[in-house]
Amino acid sequence: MASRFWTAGSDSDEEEVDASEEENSSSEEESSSSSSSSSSGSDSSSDSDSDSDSDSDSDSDDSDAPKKGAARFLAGSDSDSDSDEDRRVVLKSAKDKRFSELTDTCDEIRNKMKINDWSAIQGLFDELNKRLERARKVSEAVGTPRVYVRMCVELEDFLNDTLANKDLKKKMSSTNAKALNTMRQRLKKHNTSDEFAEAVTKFRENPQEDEEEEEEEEESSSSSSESDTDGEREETEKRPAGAAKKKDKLLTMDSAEITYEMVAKKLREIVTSRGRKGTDKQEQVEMLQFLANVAKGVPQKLEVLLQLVGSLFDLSPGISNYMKVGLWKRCMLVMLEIMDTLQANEAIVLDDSAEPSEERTAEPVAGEDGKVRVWGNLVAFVERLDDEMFKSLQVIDPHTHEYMARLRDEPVFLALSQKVHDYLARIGDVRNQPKVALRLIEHFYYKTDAVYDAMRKLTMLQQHFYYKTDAVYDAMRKLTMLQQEEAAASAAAHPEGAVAAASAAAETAAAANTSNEPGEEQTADDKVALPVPLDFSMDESSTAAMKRLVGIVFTHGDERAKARAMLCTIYHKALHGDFHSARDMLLMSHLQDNVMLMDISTQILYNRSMAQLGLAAFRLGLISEAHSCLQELYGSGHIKELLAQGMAMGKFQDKTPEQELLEKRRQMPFHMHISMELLESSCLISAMLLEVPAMASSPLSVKKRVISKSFHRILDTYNRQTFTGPPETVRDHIMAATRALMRGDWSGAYGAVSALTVWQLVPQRESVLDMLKKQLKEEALRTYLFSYSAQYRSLSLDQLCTMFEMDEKAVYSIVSKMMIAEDLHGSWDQPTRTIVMHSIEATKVQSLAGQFADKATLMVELNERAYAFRTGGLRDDDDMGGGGGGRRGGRRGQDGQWEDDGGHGGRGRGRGPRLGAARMGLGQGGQDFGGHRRGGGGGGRGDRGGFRASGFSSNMTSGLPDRFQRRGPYRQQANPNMQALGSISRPGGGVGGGPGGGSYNRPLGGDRRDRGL
Amino acid sequence: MTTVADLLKRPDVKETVLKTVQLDGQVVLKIMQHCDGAQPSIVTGQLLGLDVGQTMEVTDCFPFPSPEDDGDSSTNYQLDMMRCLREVNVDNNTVGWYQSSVLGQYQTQEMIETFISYHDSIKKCVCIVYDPQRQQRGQLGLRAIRLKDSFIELFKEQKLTGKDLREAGVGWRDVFVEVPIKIHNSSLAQALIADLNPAPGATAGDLERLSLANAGYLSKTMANLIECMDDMLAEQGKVSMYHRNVARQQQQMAAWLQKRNQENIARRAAGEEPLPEEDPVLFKPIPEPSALDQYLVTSQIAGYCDMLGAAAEKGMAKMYLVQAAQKAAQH
Repeated sequence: MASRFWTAGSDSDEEEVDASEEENSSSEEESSSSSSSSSSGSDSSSDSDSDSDSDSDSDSDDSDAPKKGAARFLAGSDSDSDSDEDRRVVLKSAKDKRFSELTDTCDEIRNKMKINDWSAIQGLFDELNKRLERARKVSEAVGTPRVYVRMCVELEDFLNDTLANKDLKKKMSSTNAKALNTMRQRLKKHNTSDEFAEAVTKFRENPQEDEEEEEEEEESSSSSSESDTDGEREETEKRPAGAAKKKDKLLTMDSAEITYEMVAKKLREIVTSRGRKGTDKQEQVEMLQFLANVAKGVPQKLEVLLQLVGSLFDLSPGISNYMKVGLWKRCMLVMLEIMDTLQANEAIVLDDSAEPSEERTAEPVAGEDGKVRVWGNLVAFVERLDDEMFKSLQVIDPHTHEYMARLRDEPVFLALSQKVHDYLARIGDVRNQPKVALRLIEHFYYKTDAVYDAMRKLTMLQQHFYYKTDAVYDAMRKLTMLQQEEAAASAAAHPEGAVAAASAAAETAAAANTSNEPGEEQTADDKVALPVPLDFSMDESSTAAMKRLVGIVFTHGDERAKARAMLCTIYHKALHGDFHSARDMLLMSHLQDNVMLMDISTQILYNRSMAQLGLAAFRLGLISEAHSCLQELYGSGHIKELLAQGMAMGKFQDKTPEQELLEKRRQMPFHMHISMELLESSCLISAMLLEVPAMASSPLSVKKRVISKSFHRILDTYNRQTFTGPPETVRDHIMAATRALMRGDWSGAYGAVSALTVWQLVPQRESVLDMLKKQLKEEALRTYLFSYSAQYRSLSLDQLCTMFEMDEKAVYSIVSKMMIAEDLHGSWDQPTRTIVMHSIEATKVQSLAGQFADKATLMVELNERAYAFRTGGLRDDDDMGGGGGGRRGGRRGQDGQWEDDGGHGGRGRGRGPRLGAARMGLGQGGQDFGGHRRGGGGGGRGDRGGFRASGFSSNMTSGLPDRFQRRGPYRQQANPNMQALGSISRPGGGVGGGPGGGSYNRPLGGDRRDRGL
Repeated sequence: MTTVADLLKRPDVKETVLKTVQLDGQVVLKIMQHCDGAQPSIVTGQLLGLDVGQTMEVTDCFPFPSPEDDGDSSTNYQLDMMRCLREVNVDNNTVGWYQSSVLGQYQTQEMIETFISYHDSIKKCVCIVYDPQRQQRGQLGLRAIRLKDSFIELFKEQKLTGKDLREAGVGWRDVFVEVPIKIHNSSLAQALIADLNPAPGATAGDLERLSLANAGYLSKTMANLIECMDDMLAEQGKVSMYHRNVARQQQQMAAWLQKRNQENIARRAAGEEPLPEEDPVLFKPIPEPSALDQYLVTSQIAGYCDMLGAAAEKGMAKMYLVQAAQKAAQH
């Protein structure tokens, strides 16, 4: 069952949402927690100028800051509330709103001043005063906002100018003049009142400084200037231009002088300003980096580092773009540092549920259990890093060195994830542990052994390169010696392997190069050196790694994680040729039942697993299994979309840009691709091997049992071609092979098939080709016998052996099987070692009678269904379980061989077993044959059928028995009829008829030669 | 012997059931000649005669011009012919029509419609179906067909859905009735035959009857049977489609009703007038498909099956006969 997710409407990436939620909540906490820091600024607007240089003052301000009630929560936010790329909602506090109102009104007044509209100015001035009141109420600030004071001063000046200008005054309209007079009086009173007089005079004394600070206010909207160091620092951050001249005090201070409090305060400040419009993120990152160096105590350092990671993430623009590689690497470095710290200090526990960094003035002491709790969410960071890496791989052109270079970063990421995972295991966080484990699994599952080894080698190489450890180097060397040839050969032979192996090779070369020229510059941003931690080592084999990680997910993970881990395991197993256990896992987990309900990326994973399962089956020579796995993926015509390996050019439906974007974000990176060509050839070859003998067995009714519709379509177009040149595409090759096979010419078919280039991508190329040769011979023999046995009186076994280059036993077994299945009407003549044909053409009447029986059965079946419908209590899909199910199943194609061709297939399937059942019923004296029916059908279908029935079409098998039971009364009626039909039909109709159930014209005495009709 | 006076005495003469159809020798010969000559196209003609109690006496007939001939005259032809026949003092009372058929195919909608149109004027009209192929195989391929009265009533009311037919108790066997045929010759003709001495030991018909080659016939019938099965399947499809539609509509209706119920509860709680719970506009009843075609196809199938059965039976008998003859020849 393929999951056709593109029809689904919305598809928000869950992880994405998760992550952003995480971010969101954290940012909210941060902002609330840190609001206290900036509140210090809001209290002292009037006296800030006077003691702007005193250090000590600021501390005292700080200490009483928390008392300031609501204001401390309001100060933290920003007036310009543009939501930034993290989708963070910035709340506009009431206070900010007031202030922005004030500013707006001031601007308006200024505008009116320009046009000399005094009546308007009067109104606005009233409004301004009102607003000031309100603002004061909210902010509880004592002082007057500078904006306001400045406005008053400006107004006064302007008023005086206007009054001095007599001409202007004369020109004014009466209302305007009146307003001017009122204003003059009011302003006079207003500005001289003791409330404002001081502020105004101060302003007049020092308008320059005021202006500067005002600007700052406008930018940051924090209510008033910060006192001393804080204010200055804020400036450095918020005004990048000014940063150069105004060096931060902290930066210049001796690190010994810096106290814990200072760092904590600064950190809070940064946290608060994070995400604001005016904030320079780059600046913040630098500051944080500096802080990390000077931080006092490990917990604080961790806090700073965690914040630094967050800020680094902020630097990358938007979710649609990927994070710059250099940035990513810096993130990785910081993360690794965090992990090292955590490893070194086991007492510290990172916890995203712990109370966020509260107001602390001293180094936190260990809690009761001897642990220090620090707020932080490593898992979210790891997930984000993984996503960013994924995104970058999606975007980078896979044929460039850049891509290779990017792939080389994978070991480091694996190391980090492993560390985080170990850490989580240590602190016993079973909730998050599976998340990281799943991330790791998703890095491992698609790797073949060769690729995995290459990756391991690469890891060691990197470790060696950066640490110059001889031990590692030796180990690496040994590994290289052992695996060089094999890895090179097989990795190059595999699609995914090619890239990784090449990258490993490139890395080797690079390592060699760099060791030769150690002086090579690596200063550029992109070239952040990213060493793999020394204590990281990958598991010996990917299987072991998978097993370990999957175990964790299965124990602790949620449903989705479990499903994904299961699919990854299936994929991995299939990739390693363990088809049967992969299949069992798939069937036992019943994933195919509910995969349609899962999110799209899981559906894609399911499709990938399915494809890989098919390829595994194909490699093992399980042709029909391979066909049922692949057929639907391939037959859908949307295989690219289904596997997320490229966008199909929408011929029929135009996608909206959003849809396209979403689809782009779903794409698999190149190194994870499953080769389309390989899929196509496997699918078509499987179809060919199944279809050609089937077509030969009933040449006149090709439409009767279509196994693979897509194959037929291709064959038809191929046959219609006026000129068939030498094969070029995969299809051409296989069609050429089909032609040869139809003549029973196995060597021609093999020639065409083996000429395909895709076999180079298969690791076990020789064995696969051998398998193909064997299969082709067998099917050619069958086809030959189907097509030409009528032309022979007898056929010598030896001749067949030489014709098909098969040994006697194999020929004997195939021919005997055909005789038993009544595909071949003949018998062995042992002494002469020949097959003696008993071919007798059925008469017209016989064949017609067969056809009639066919129709009659169909009618009986339909009647049964109609009856069941009338009696009610019938589930709809149970009802459809017969023909309808077949038809639907055919479209979905999941049921493989015998349901592919819609109506006919469904009919065929229904018919075969049912007639068999009728026979059984006869034998049992017409008693309940529901059970037997199944037994008959299932038994006849045998191994293959069992597989399909149990798995790919589970909905119908499960529906059958009770459906029959419920039909009690009708069955009795139908029985005579059925018996009649049964006696027309060949004994055991469906049982021997195989999956196709083509049992119709078996009947009528000894004449068996019906297929040739 | 019923006389005209007797007939007049009994006013319920029309209500009597038709028991036999009595064909005059010349009628049989005329029909055969016309139909055989026109093979393989299907031709029709008019039957003339008298309705006497339980017997329908057919004393004469004339062919209709085939539709390939000019169509204008065909309508007038019948009237002209009747007039002419009256002038020569032949029974000119129409009692039905005859038609040829191919392998016993006659159960069609048109047939019923013709019957109904005849029925308006002639209550007891019959149709003689002549099967030339059957004749060639040495059997008299004549059958007299009527529609059952109960069916006619239903048809006139167009109550032809499965439900109606079921309620009226009309099964597929109750559409057409076959009436026994009696061939009657005038005494003079009989005397002449008796006078022709002696009757030959075996006729050409006897010889034909012994023919062992019935494969063609069987396969032809089989093919027809298969065609009928296809028709049947199509009909079945219609019915199940109908059922599915009805079920779906019921589902929708239930959903709608539930919604309306809830709405009403809410409205009642809000003190508003509840909306009506019956909405005839929203859900129109889906018309049930006519069962007539099914009946016709079924009876056609039954006809074919009978034919096949008869043929097979005879074939077997002949086989035994031949076997016995061979044995006898060997001894």
